Amino acid sequence: MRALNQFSGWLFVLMATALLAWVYLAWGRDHHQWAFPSGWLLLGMMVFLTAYNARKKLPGLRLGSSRLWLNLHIYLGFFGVVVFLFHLRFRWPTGWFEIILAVLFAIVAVSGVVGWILSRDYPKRLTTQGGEVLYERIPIVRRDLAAQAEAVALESVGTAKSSTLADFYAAELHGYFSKHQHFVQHCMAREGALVGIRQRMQEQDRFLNDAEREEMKKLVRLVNEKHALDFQYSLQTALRMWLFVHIPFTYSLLIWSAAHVVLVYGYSAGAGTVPMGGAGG
Amino acid sequence: MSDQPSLNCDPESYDRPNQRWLCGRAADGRACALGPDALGGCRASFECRPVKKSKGGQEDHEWICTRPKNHGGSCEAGPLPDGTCCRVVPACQPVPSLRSQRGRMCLMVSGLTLATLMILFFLPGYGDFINPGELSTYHRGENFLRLSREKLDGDQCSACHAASDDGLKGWLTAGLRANPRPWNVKGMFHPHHDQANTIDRSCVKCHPRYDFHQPNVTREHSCTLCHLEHKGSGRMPAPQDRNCASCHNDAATMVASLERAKDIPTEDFKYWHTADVVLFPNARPANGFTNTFATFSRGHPEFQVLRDQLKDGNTLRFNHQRHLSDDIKKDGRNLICTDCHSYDASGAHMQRVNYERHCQSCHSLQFDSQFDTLRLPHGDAAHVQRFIASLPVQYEEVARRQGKVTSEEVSGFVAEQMRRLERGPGLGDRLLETIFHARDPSREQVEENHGFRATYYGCAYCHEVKQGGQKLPHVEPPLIPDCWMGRGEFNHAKHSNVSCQECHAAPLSRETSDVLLPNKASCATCHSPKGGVSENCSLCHSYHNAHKRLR
Repeated sequence: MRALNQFSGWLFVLMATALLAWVYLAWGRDHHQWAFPSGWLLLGMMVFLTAYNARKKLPGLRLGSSRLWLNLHIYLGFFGVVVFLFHLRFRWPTGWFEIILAVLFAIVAVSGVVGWILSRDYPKRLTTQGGEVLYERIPIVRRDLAAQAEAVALESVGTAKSSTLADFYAAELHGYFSKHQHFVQHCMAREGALVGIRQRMQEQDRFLNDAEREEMKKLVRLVNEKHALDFQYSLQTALRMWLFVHIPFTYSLLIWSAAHVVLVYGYSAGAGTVPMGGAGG
Repeated sequence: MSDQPSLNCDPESYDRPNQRWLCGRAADGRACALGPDALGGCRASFECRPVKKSKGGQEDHEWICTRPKNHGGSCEAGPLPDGTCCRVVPACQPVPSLRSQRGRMCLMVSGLTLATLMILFFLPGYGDFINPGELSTYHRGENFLRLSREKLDGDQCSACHAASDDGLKGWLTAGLRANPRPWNVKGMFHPHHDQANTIDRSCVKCHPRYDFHQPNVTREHSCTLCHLEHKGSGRMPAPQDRNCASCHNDAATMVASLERAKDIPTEDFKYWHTADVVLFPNARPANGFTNTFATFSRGHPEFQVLRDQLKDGNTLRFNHQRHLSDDIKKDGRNLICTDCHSYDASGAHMQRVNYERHCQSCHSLQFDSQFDTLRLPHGDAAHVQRFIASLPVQYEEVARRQGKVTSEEVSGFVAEQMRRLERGPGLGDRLLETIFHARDPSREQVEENHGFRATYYGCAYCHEVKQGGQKLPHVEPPLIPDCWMGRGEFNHAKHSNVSCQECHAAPLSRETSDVLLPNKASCATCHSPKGGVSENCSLCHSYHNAHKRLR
């Protein structure tokens, strides 16, 4: 079903692009008025795409399923980029006002594509990794893991009559448990961070007695749990953070676009017609 | 799969991520149960609010700890005797939730955007900020400012954009009055090209004679339809072919133009001669220029002068082939085109061929083959007549130059020459007749004195000579056009990489009446998509009637 939806979505983008290209080649390329219909189409699409955010805030209204809105948002968003390029006639603008407008559009479009990629990839990775934790509860879990690790380290002093493990915990692991780690590595699916910690724990093994080794096994398990929790935190944070660019700049883009429309009509040649003498001679 | 984190928390605990404020200790995993209030104030007081529980009698009761399980459950110490919780929660600094932070960022960025727009719109240099592209060179700078102040009602931007100085309100008003209106969907696709707009009104104030084309044009055209400003410095970009094709490749428009032309006097279509430019007389075709075609290489009609096989009406007798033949030399080499034809200052046209500069060195008007200083004046028949009448004086001058001092010697010399003339071509009217009308080229050339140079054969050798009044013949002045295709432009200098004979078949031309213009196919060899050189209409044509403009 999902594959069918995707196929339909891309088919829509493809067909709409083909239709737009046909209109452009048949009429728009040779008429500078092309900017008006293509501009209004683009503005209308931007308003509709922004309405998705409002739709999420009004779940009670019967405006179609959220899934439908999301699909429309994604595929219309891609088509919006196409309309934007045709509106510009594939030329980068030269005036400062229009350059800023184009940059705003680029920020929104790129952040949207990044968000789309993250939304497709990260949930799969989170599910595959397993152990999903509610984002708001991650600090609680982290604190619990930190408390368990500290308890293991302190317990080892009594049971093993040695402070080697406790010292190692204080030097190497306390900081690791006290905050979220390796955001970028988790987002980029790099395992280097955990490998380093495991290696240092293995190096420590020759200095431990049998009792401490038993405690160290508990710490290894806790480190693995913390690593998995960091993975959850990093990916879930990334899934939320791209919206900090996409949504605010969407509103900025809409405001700038509205100003663009006012300027275009206010300054356009079509701003009122007047009789002109000597015509037709 | 790695080990999973142990949740170890109450699954019944209910998080509210959509709340605007979060406990300041939530990030540390120690959020209090109460949480902040709606305005972000910390509500922390005690870990629980103990409840009174009856122990038996009505007066006998105890306070019970109500701390939730996920915060440790009932504490060991329990409530104080007065019912107060014994565990005070230190106050925190609540933080906005992610959702709230995002909302704040939206407001901040939107506010910043609005503020930026307002500031930039009302700064003195706002015109540069909203300018969609650099103006052409002629529409900026001090000269344009001066002109716009004198002839228009505004300065830089407002010279063309009437609403420019009216601020946001003015822009909105002008925008809502725009034609087509912003909400007129149909009008976006079919704008009123046949109506002038406010910018056009400004254009014609400085360009008053640019408001016409052929008089049978069926609809008015807005200046801004073809002339696009804000496309960079330098000249404004040339109008596009599509502008021309909107009429010239539209059969209905051409038919309408043809019909309209029937009611317009031919005189109105006349291409005016300017004071100093001679145009080849190229009459307007019966149907005007109403053939429809797409581009120069695809459908443009053959040049009229060739299509109608027009002839050069010049009366001067000139044979290009003869002059380019091997037996005619100049400075030891064959003649070449540039010996007679050279660019004018603009490079567009050729300078006029001039007898003194181009012909005289070979075709001298040496009157007497024995005395090369005796030359007939060129250009005026009356001068020639007076020269002949003054021949005795001319010979006297020759005698003195030869060192003859005494009057006897001089008069003897003159008498001898006059007798020689009388024996030869004759004197008086007979001599004049010979000079004006002789056109026999078979006369001997005087090799000993002038090498290969031709001697003087008579005016009629090159010119058309008619009998004039008062015995003075009329020598028809030659009329050599400066411009052969008055409705098109051509720049010779831009074609200097092409040899003359690639376009002009001069070596094959024997008659003056031959028109040596290249045909359209010859031009299209380069000026076509295949040739790789532009074939834009504006390369040769101007919508505006340039010759009429120069009148």
